[in-house]
Amino acid sequence: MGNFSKAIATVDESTSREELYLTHHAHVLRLCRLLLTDRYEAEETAQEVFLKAVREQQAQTPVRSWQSWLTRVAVNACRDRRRSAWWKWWQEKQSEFDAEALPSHSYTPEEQVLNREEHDRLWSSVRTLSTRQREVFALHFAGWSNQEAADILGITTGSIKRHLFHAIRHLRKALGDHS
Amino acid sequence: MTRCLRDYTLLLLYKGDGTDQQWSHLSTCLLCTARYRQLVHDLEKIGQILASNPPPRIAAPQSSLFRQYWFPAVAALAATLLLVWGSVHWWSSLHPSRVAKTTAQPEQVSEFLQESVVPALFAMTDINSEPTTLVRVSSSAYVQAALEGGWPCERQEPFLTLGCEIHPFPLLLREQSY
Repeated sequence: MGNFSKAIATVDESTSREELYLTHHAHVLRLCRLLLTDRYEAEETAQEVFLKAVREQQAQTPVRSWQSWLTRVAVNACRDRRRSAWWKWWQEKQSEFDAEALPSHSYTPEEQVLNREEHDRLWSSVRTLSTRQREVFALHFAGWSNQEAADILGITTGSIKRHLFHAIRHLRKALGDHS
Repeated sequence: MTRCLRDYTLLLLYKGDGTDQQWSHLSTCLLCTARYRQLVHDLEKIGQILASNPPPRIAAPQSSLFRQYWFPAVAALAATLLLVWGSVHWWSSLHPSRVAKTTAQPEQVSEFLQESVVPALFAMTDINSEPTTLVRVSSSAYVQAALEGGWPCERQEPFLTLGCEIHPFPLLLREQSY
C-alpha cells in the first residue's frame, strides 16, 4: 500500500495540469470514496479538489508537495461535504440501485452472493466509523505513514495509532472475528 | 519477552513501529506469527474490497420509523393535552373560592372609587400652579368665627390682604351680616 504514495511523491512540483491530474486523480478519488462512502459524491469532490489545485497553480502559490496538498484539501472538502445539509438530506433519500457495484461475472453464483454480502458488510462497517477514524484509516489506506497522517490531520501520532487500531478492529469484525 | 503480543502491538509492527524485543518475539512465537499473518491477510482483503465502489445507501431508518409510528405519537400527545386540560378544569371546579379570590368584589370597587378616584378627579388644586400651603383650622376657630359672624379662612393666599375674601358662601355671609 505504501508503494503508491511513494511513487507519486517522486513527481516534480512544477508539473503541468494534465500531469497533476493523471498522477494524483486516482489517489484523490480513492480517498474521497473512502471518506464519503459514495461513488458519485466522491467524483464530484475530487473534481472540486482539482479545480482548487488549478487555481493554486494559476495563482503561482508555492506548493512544497502536491501530493500532501491535494490530500489535505481532499480531506477538508469531504469533511465540509459531510457537514452540509444537502449531504444529510441526500444521504436519507438515496436508494437507487448501483449496477456497477455488483461483483465480477467470473465468480460462481454462490461466490457472487458471498462476495456481495462481504462487500456490503464491509462498506456498511466503514460508514459506521467515526469521522476521525475514517480519515485516519483512509490515509493509512492511501499509504501515508503515521507521522504524515498526523501532520495532515493536525493531531498527534498517538491519536493516529489509536484511531487506526479501533478502525481496523471494527472493519475486521465486519469480515469475521479473528481476535 | 514471554507474553504474547497485543493486537495493538501487532498493528504497530505492521506499520513498521515496535521494539526489537517485539520483533524477536514475533519471529519465535508461533501463535503471534499466525495472528500477525491473519492481520496482514485481513488488511489486504479489506484493501481489495474497499478499492471497489461502495454499494448504494439504503433509506435511513429514522424516516421509516417516523412513518411507522407517527400516528401513535400524535395520539399520545393529544391524549396528554386532553388529560391536562381536563385536570385543570376539574381542579378549578373543585376550588372555586381560590379562583374567585383573584377578582375584586363590587363593594371593594366602589370603596376604592370613593376613596381614591373621586378626590383625585375633583381636586381643587391645580397641578400646574404653585404649591400652596394648606392650613387646617381647628374646630375652635370655627366656633370663634361663628360667634364673631365671620368665616375662618381655610386657605391663606400670599397675595391677598388680611381680610378673608375667599370663602364658600360670601353672599350668604353678607346677608347674614346685614
